[in-house]
Amino acid sequence: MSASTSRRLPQGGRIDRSRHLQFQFNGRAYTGYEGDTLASALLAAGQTLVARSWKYHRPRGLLAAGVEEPNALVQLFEGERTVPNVRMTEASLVEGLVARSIHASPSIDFDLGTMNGWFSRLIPAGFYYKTFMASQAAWHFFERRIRAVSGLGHSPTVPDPDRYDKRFAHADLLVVGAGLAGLSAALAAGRTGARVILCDEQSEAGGWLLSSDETVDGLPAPQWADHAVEALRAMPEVRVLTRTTAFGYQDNDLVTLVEKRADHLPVGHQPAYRERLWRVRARQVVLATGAHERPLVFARNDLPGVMLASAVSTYIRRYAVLPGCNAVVFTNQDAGYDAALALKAAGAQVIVVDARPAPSGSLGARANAAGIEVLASQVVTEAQGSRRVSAAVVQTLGADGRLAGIARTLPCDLLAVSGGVSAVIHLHSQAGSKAVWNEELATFLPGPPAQSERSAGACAGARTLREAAHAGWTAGLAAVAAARPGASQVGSSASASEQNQPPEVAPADPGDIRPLWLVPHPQGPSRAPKQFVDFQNDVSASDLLLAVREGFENIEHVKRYTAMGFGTDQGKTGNINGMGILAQVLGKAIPQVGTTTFRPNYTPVTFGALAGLELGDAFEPMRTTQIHAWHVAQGARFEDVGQWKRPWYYPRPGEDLHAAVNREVLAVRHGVGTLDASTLGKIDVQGPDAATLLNWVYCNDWSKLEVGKARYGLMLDENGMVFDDGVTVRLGEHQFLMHTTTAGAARVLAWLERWLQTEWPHLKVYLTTVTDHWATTALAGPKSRAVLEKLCADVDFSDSSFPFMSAREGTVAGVRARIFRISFSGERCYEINVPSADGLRVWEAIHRAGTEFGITPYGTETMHVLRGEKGFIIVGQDTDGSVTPVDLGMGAMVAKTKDCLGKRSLTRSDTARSDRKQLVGLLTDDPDFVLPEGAQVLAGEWAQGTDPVPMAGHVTSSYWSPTLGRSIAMALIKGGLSRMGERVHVAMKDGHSRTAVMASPVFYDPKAERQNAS
Amino acid sequence: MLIIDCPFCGPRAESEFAYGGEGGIARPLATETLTDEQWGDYVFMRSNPKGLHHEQWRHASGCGKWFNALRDTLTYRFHGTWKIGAEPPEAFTRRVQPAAPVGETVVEGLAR
Amino acid sequence: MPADTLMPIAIADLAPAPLRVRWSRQQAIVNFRGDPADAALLQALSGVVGLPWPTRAADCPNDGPADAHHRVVWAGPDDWFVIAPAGCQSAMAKSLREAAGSRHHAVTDVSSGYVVLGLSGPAAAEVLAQGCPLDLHQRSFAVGASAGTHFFKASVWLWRVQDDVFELLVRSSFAGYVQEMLERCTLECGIESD
Repeated sequence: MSASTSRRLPQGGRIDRSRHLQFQFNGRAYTGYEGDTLASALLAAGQTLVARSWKYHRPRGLLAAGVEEPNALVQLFEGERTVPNVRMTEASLVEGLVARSIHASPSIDFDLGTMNGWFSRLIPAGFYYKTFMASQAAWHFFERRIRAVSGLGHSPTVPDPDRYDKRFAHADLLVVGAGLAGLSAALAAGRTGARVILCDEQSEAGGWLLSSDETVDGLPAPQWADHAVEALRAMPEVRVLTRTTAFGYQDNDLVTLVEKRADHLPVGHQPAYRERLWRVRARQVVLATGAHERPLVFARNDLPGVMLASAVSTYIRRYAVLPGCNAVVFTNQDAGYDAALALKAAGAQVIVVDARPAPSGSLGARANAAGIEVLASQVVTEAQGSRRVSAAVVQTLGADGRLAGIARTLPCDLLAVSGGVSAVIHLHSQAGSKAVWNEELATFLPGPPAQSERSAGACAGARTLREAAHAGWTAGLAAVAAARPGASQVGSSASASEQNQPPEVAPADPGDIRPLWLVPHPQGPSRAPKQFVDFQNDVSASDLLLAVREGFENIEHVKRYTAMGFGTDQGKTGNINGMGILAQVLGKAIPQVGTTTFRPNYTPVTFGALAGLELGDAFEPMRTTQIHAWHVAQGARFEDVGQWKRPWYYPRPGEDLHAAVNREVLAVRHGVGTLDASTLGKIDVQGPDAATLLNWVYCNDWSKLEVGKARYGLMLDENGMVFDDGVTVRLGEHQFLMHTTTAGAARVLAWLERWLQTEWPHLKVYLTTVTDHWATTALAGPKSRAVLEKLCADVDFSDSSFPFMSAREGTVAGVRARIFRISFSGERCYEINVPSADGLRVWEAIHRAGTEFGITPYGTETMHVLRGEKGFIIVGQDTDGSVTPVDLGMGAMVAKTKDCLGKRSLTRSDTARSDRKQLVGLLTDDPDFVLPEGAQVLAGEWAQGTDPVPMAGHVTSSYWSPTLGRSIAMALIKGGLSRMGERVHVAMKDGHSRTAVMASPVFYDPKAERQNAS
Repeated sequence: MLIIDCPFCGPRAESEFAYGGEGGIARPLATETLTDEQWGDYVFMRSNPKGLHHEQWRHASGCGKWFNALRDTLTYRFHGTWKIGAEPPEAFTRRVQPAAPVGETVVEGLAR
Repeated sequence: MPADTLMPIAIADLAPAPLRVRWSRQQAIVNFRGDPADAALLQALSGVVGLPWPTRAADCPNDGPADAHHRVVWAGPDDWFVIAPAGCQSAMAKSLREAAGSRHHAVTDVSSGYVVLGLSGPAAAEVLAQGCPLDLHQRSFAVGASAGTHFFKASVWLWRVQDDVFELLVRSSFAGYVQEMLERCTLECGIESD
């Protein structure tokens, strides 16, 4: 752009003219100033065409200056840090910024998608659905072509290098919006010492004040805003957050904010966290979210150069950019005159077209005084121009709503439009409150609050700065009183210099409004050029009329049919006009057409902000034992078990999983191995009723277990299904140590506590979690005793003195230890428990002592194979919540002499069926073939063409057994326990099947002699 | 995220709590004397009301205690929490009682 | 002039000093369970530790900085942790058992099951607020206040020792996770380990 077309005003605005910023838009270089947005900088450079529309790829310009901008979406930045769909009106200019239009291919100046526009009469609302979905084949044909030209922006294709954080925050009062109402509320509340958070989505606080030429407390409005922010920042209990959007009002007054902290700063000066998600829990919330001006709906109202009147004022006064030199202002209310005044003051030619018979308020009077020409009772029926507006067609609008007289054409390069304002009631609606239609202001206003929120300022119907100041101040004080009942002065008192009354603004008359939902066109709405309602989704008035003709009457239906209010825009500028048109056509009042319920999020929120710091390795807690570092040093591969990291196997150089596991298994079977069993859940059960509790929660009997002995238990839910298992040791008459599965520990504790607290509070038992206190080394294999005897002198390890399933205390490697002789491998095994602070030391001592025996650390995979060879179950692998002890072939464990949780269910007709899936071993006919876990077992023979194939069950565990030199598997098969020896077919995913024979799952050492082997 | 008033610790964030299903379901005594239907009612049948619902919650990341709650399933709003065995809030008696399950007339539970 | 474009809030907002982190792995930690309605028991227990015995969540009596002194952490209405100098767990457990006498109670040494984490510095409360939903403002959580809560996905016990000094009781197996989250949380204020 040459300097001659620069639209930058010689002075004014909140930009720093000493700081030039270079940036690129669609590959072209531009210069702007610090304080600009991408939008204001492009507008200053004369770049009026900034976007293409979504459906018809029509040329579009800036409609707005803020969050309500529907057209000007860009892909901001490049590469790994790119963000799609940023409104350029919200993108602060920063040195080196790179942005591209979305929707434009190959460029916004020459867009192939424009042909959609040429055929636009052929693609009305519902067209895609009706045409392309008519048949599957049609859709497949069209889908690729549609996808190529639609969609909003591009997701980055590489991981985001930035960090995002989240915070909980608490306050007496959260004020959303830092316009005059919000600032007044925060000042009123802050000076009482209350804890206040004030947030605003814009780069600086002030809201409309930054665009206004009025005075507050005798200061120019923008300057007053600066002072107010300064005063608030000086209050220790007040936090002011700019660039921070309150995007969700959740339950119990939780308001979620996202703070954009980095994108406005040059690389190298950015904070560590690009965005911050605030979860604010405030006792009271003041919503001072303002209002958005609505466009007017007339033919070709989407031409570049058609701009909201409020945006015109903002570009002129805040950014010192003159959007046009020869302007027509088309309004149906007094507020539109503000733009005319701003234009005039900036030296532009301006004519006002007012749909009303005459201006009625203070702004109109000022315009008259300024000598601005007003065409009353007239409307713009059509904008003309090709790539930007060149003229407005103006005609008289009678009191009856019909066009009259002769149309005339006003040449112009800017058409400012003002169709009334829509209160921003999104958060109010998200809070669960119902909005109420206000006929006088022609907008929905907040209804009775559903939560602790109150609305103040323009979002509650205030139409002048004076009203907003008073409403904000009052709301701030009322909110503090409600937040801290009885406390007039919460904390530090206000100093004398602080404001103690509402900001003073001169009274003004806002005037009236002539609601005008659809400007008539001589050709009628269906033949007129497109009259856009929703710019972002290319929904025009004729689309709405079509929807009505096709029988849609409720706004929710029309919305879905036409896509009005969809996308990132969510109908900010278009929804109410759409409802007005609908109501007009249906002959109903607007509230009868319905009101859209707003849901979070107000504006799009990045996934980065939502994810925060809990990513990657920190997505779930990674729990480790005190021996973890040793496993890492030994090169162990790890497996996730619940939240725990457990060694999976310890590969030696050149070994894969299977080689390592085969070696580890044989080491345990023939020598000695160690497993870090610290992760097993451990609950200390103490009290005179401890055995009674165990009798209730385990299906087997505990009363007669001697002190110093251990027993395996199965825990059932009330439906009789196995939900945990483990060995429990009786440490004393009134003390047991319960082991749970690694992943089930928390669930078991909650379960036991629930029964104790709710059903059996009379039981004298206390439960204490000791999982993390004890480090457990399972020392397994025929040589385990020999190793342990080297380290422990004060225990008699003879089998007669210390038999299987018993416990002893002793000193191992100098540390007091509990030694349990229990085994999950079938081999002789000692589980050595020491306080975990000593765990690593004892583990290392055991390894030193075991060196002469070839001691081998083994991981969970070897543990699985060892127990698989023995037919020991793993809860959660061989059971799935639908398996009873009877199904497992462990029915004999269920004590006959007592009740326990779940016992009654075992005799329910369904649970007692003999054809339930039952656990059996499977031996494949091909001993070298290892069945895949999860494979389906067929009910009969494999027969080609049998569809669906009846299934009898599935494989739950399957391994190569190095001990037996063949494959082994366990499976849940219907009626399996009574079908031993039968051959079954197991389906493979390649469509073939394998045969296997049902057998006892105890594949190895059925007489259980190995536990005493040495 | 809701605020839940733990009867022991006071109002806390929902993320500290675990939900434990419908409350006030007493485990029947002498289970061996129950018909399958009666036992099935106890194990499987829950009221699932639209409106006030008697629930059990546990302050899992907190004091570890189970407690009763009365919550509106329509609005999520808590109408009170109370300790196991304590008197329920006034709203509790106003709630719409679910139709008595089949087994309820003959099944005596332990007092809560 | 837009104030924040020249002096970005993000930068100005940085905490002035790094978070100081101290993991105390050697302390004696004994869990006590007993009847909170038994006034004589509470008195006897109080005598053992030389501190008031807390009966509600809000209180965490302590007699000064960590290491050499005692804390009693209310963990539930009938559930407490006594934190005492390193090495004295057996003696503490014995004294607590004696105080309880023949009453129904449980004393469990969990010294290795938990780690005491000290966080100090002006950033401490803000760092905690990244993962803990409690209101940690002095008006809501004063010195001596205590609560069971969570820091990100780790359940912890948290109490305030001084204005900007907090201590947490963290399960040993979660220590690595908590340290990882602290590091992720302190990219702006920095972190120093004692």
